[in-house]
Amino acid sequence: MSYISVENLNKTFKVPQRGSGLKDAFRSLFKRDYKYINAVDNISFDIDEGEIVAYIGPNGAGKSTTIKMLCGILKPDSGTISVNGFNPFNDRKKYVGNIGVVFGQKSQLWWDIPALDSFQLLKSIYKISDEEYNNTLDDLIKLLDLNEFLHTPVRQLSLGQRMRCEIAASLLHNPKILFLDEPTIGLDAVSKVQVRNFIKEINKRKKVTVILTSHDMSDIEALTNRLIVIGHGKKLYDGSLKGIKSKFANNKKVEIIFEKINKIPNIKNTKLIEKNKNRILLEIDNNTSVSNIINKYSKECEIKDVNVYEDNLDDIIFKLYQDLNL
Amino acid sequence: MIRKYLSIHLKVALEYKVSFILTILAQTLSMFLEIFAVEALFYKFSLLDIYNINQLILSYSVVWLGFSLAEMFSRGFDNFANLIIDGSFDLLLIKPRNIFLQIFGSDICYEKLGRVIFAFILVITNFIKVVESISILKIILLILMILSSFILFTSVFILCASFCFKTVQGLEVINIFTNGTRTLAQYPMDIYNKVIRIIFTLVIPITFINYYPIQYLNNTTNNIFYLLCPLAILIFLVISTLVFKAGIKHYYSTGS
Repeated sequence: MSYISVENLNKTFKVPQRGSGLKDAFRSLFKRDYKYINAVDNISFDIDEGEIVAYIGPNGAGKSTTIKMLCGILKPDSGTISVNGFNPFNDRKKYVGNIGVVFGQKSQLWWDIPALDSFQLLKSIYKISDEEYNNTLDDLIKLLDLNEFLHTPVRQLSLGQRMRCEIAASLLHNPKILFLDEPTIGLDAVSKVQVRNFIKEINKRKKVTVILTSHDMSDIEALTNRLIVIGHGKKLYDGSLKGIKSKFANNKKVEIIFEKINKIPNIKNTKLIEKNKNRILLEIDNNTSVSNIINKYSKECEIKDVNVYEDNLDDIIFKLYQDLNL
Repeated sequence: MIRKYLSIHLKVALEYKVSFILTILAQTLSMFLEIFAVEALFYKFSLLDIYNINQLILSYSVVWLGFSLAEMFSRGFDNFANLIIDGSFDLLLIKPRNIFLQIFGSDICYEKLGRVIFAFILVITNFIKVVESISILKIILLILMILSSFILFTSVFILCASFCFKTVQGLEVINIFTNGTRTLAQYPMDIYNKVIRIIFTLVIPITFINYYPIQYLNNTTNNIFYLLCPLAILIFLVISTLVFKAGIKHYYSTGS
């Protein structure tokens, strides 16, 4: 059996419905209409030890709900979750010692005091031995470059510094699984790269299984090979990054700029989209090699510049959401 | 871990020293004024022939002491709606420790320290005046009274917190429940009619923390039941915890 195995997971929320006017507000005091939302609708997947998996979907797709059930915070309505043999909700106290969780929008650090004080509280909450604590902390300080601001009250830290402290806080007890819920939200480019490199590093060094949600496609491209896409609570795609690209990516576009052209060569599987006096735009499918085209064109003209346009992951995901009517 | 919680909250409180000290002073003063008013009323109207002023203030201050202790140490339950709204409750659930212990630790309000000390002084001085001869049993009873008063209000907080699983927002109605309980409990039960007395014996067992024990302290009775009745509060605590535990299963969490 896999390390993490989720089978036919369901969670429904009951959401009170009412109109927006004052009259409706009064009416709802006495009689409430409810709408049932299937936040997670029959989802199954397996994850192996040491994998990094990105769990993505549009807002409200059910990502956080799934993560919360995997962490043992919410009780599933039906279906089973097994993580390393534990049932997260029922075995909560024994299970959560093995996981670390970073919610990008919730802080587990104490706002008014230095992060180091929060770390010491976590040390006694997780019952970490002095030796293990010191080793892990030294490691984290080096990897995340925390030294400068470990003694500053958290409220005075920048967002990037705080996020690095948050990540350190969730790893003090050396968890085997790390859940990251939008870990790079609001971070600048430098901090993002720092956080990503760190995640890769601990995954490689300590074999930590990482499950990550993010709206930032560059996070996902940098970190992982496996994607699980969900929308309206249903699983839509589960597979490699390459797979989703070849399935949903548009054809490539090649732009060739030249001084003068004798004759436009005829090449299989290419379509001429635009032609100006010294510029040609071609659409080619993903299997046609660009070098072949350049080769043929260079015989007919002196090429000054070539640009290749490819869909990035953002475009692909956008198309995927559109195709599936999300 | 409890020690760590105590020290971390003290550190937080001391980050804002001036505000910390001013809050303590203000709260102690407001309590002093309230006691002063009770005493004035008592002399003006001599409402209660059967009570002397010391019994009245003892009864009053035992409730205040328990309530202030509960506000200080059980603050996490008192403000439980906030834990749910800002999502901190999620973070407690992912820690491998008892959830009740963590909610206690999530907030400790040292600002109540002034009230606690003031109420404690009142309890001791009036206790000495009420009992004619101090015996070990009577001291034990006093300790039981203070403890059970603390446990009672903590239980009320836990019970009220359980409603948050259903409503998410804290309900103003609940404040009537907690503060109302305190206000009613401060005065000796003799001034209320039978119905209220029965409610406060069987539903929220307040009479067990001051009304009955004081009868033992002032030698009105020697019945051993009066000595042990503060322990009845434990039943109330057990019920509250069970309700709360059932509530966690219906927890929906908020936000992303």
